[in-house]
Amino acid sequence: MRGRRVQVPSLLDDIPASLGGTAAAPPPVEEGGGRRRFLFAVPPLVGHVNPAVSVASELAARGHRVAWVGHKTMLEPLLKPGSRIFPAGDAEFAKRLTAAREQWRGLRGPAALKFLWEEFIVPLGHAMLPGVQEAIGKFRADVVVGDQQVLAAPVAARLCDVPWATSATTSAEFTRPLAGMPLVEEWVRDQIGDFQLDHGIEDLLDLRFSDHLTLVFTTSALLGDTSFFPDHFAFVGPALSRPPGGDFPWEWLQEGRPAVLVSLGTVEGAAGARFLQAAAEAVADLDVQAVFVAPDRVLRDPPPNVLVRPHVPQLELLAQMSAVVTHGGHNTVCESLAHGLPLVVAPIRADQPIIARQVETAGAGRTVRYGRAGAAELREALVDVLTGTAYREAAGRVRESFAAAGGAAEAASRLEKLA
Amino acid sequence: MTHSDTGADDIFGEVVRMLVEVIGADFLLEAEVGPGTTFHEDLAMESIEFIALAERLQRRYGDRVDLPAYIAGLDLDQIMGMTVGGLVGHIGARLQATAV
Repeated sequence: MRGRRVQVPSLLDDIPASLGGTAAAPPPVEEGGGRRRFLFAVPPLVGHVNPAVSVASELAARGHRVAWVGHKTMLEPLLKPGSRIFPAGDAEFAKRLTAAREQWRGLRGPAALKFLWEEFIVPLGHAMLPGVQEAIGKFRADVVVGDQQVLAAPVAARLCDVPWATSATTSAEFTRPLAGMPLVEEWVRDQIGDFQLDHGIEDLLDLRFSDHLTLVFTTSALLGDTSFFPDHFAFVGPALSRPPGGDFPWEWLQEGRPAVLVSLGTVEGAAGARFLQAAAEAVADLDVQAVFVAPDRVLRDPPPNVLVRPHVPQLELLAQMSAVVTHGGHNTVCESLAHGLPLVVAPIRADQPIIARQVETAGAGRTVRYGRAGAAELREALVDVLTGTAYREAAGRVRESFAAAGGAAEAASRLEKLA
Repeated sequence: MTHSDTGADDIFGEVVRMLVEVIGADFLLEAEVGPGTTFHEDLAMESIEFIALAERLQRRYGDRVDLPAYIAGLDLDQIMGMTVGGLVGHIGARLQATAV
């Protein structure tokens, strides 16, 4: 660890006055106050792009200009045709991405945390910085909306003297998950501090939390108490308005029969085979229909009540489901709860165990093991959430809280006040 | 407190039995666990399994052994490399200290 005069301030145990609500309050915008230009800086991760797409669409619908900066080939299919994308990230980092994904799938626990910062977040930040700076200039951005994992966004915004907002697509950082490991918590802050020092910034901020506006796509109903956060932390609930997600054989679902979605998200791929196989065995003897999101041929001989699809129109499908089995990706969890669906969460790594705890604490589901849960263990948990009304009621409370929070519209309104 | 209560071999045996209970006999045999076995790399312990282990330690040793406090003193590399032997050593030291 390098010696330094300055340190990244800790957020939740010691909020400095400069982060308080009063100093950072933006000037009010006049009614009908003109078009503004919002630049979204995103990492090459689908789950981090989707909520931003929803907020960006809302801004565009209100007449504002929106552009993107990130990994162009990865972003293009996720955005509306004709979206303006500025490239960021050097070729060397892009080449390493595929290998990094592979390594990521082999990591759990603290090794995944170390890898996330040392091999992904920090190098991604360095690789993206020149592109983000250039995009701010070329697009003449009024506001930069940076994903929480894009360290280049706040640094470039500060260097260009443009206000910036954080888009937190997972809420794990807002509960101080590492409070029980103070040396690890400090290590993370050092990664963030060193990144700024490397780019000549000495008055360090915690780049995970904008001091202008931090958008969090959840609410206290799931996250827990948020009353102590300053006003520039906006808990807007999930931002769900994205374009319809493609084909699905809707006729396969039988009316009146309980249906379960089983999904490990967009990252796991074939690595989830053992868990999915156990889940298929778990539902085989239940009177449910189950839609499994999995690559082709990952499941051997799925039972007749299991439909395997490589992709699903998740939001439309959730409207037809009774419960969801997930790895605990923040988007899938919040999308499920936005539909009032109870969950069985089998967290794999990173923020997922934290999100799983949130679900349990809210009473909206059960946590099971990912690596070793067998069919019996999964069946017991699934039957419990399907039949226990308390889970459904708790999920319903979260749904109401999400609906009241405003989602993408509220996020857009808060962003407008920054510009 | 009797001497055998704090014997490192006994503690090791107890911790290994707890691990087999938590992880499941289908996945772990007592004979497979040694002092150098790591919780993360070797046993691939999940958060839910750590919580179950902590509960068992609490039941067996009470407040004399505080797993969260032990972990709080470790840095990232030390947490990644945490071994069964390391935990057993910690438990032994805590029992010795509180036995006086």
